[in-house]
Amino acid sequence: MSDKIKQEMNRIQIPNELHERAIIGVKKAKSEITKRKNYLYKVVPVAVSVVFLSIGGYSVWNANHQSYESQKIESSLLDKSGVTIPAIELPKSGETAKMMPLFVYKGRVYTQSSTKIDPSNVTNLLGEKLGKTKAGLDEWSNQDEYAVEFASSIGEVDVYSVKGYQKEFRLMTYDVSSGNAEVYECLNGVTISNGSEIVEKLKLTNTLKAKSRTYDDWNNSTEKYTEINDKELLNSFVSALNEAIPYLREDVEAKLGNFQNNEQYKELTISLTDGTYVTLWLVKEGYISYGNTLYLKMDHEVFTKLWNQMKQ
Amino acid sequence: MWDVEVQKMIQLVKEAQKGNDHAFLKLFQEYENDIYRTAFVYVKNQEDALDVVQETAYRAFKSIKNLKEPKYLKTWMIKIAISCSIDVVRKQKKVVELKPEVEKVLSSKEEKDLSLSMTLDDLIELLNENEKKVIILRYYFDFTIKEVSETLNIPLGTAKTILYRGLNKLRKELNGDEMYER
Repeated sequence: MSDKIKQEMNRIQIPNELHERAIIGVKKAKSEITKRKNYLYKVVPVAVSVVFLSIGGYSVWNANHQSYESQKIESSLLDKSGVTIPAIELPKSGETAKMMPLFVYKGRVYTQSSTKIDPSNVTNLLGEKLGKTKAGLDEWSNQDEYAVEFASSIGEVDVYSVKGYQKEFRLMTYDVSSGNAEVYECLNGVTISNGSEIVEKLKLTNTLKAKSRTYDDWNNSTEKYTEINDKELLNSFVSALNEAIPYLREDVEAKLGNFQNNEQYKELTISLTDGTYVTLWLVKEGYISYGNTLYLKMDHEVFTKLWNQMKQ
Repeated sequence: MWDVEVQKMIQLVKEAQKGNDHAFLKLFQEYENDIYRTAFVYVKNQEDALDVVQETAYRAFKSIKNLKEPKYLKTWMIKIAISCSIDVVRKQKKVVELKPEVEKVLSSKEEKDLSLSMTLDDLIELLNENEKKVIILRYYFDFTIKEVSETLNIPLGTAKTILYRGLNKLRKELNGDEMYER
């Protein structure tokens, strides 16, 4: 049987242009990867793929940036009750997607967060063991497979709650043998009314200190930071963040155009007293982003003060 | 010798995972004929089969950094190819007739090969998507039925059932060959 099938299939003639078509496919992929690196991939390194998961039609992959306009986002974009971040959905049939690290718990999709835990504090934050992820989700999985508890794209690893944080928002994976811990968050399928909800979820009131880095330094993975030890300034910033207005990333970036440069874009990493490091991105015009879906807009002088202390 | 080849392959995978397109194409070249023929069985014409090869190369290069075990490269690549093929078939569901390209392939042999031509035709026309998957993996790529079930993420019993059903459809054209899976 095996020989017969092979014999038959081998009768299918191979066209001369076969390898050429493979080259075209790879070139297209490479070009998109390069574009991605230049635009958003490095902006939100652990979460960019979710963009490709068609969150409510949000498609920055096209990198179809408009030129920057200084006007504010139209107020109509903001519902009085805040913004609703759409739940993660799979791409439609035929679309390509890159799978990001994620798992499913109690119907929520938790994606890998840019927030990190200081290795020396992992055991202090380790909460209740909730279970173990299952391997098998990939970009071709269907929606039904996402319905399985602990279905994941990260292989098999133990999942824990994080002490002090809402399980509905943040969980962590922990591998005892390697000591490796990763933070996962569910910031999709939720409505954010104002900045205080993010401040509360991230526990930013426990800010200890912060450091900043330029876009180019981040982009080149250069560990050159400017320490920001002005506790009063940081507290004022967090306080003002409570009043910040939430927007969806797609709406903000459509207006901002190509803002990812040293002059307009800086990374701010805040160290909390519990040993977590929260990374925010600040845009000169007063926007602060966390994760890959949300911006907060702050119209307060403290933003400018902080911006000016961040490294140029 | 085998170890050297495996080491070389692993090295190429690592290079490809870093974004080296030449390393990737070297790997892809090993499988592109098989990918093309697999695609052809699904999409039934050269043009679409070439599209599948291109799309497979595209998807595979974009996601190769997620491939944890280089030893599963071939399985992984075939899985992508089948997925792309099915996408094309579903997108063009309206195309059900035997296209001229198929007739050309089938008629390219002499008259004495008619029975074999009919077998290829059977493969293309008689089997549904799932049967094609299982039979191609089992008999063209020489996977064990267990490997087939693992590759397709289906229970072993289901893989066997699909295999038997496909074989039954082909039985009338395949005389005297092994017909039952052990």
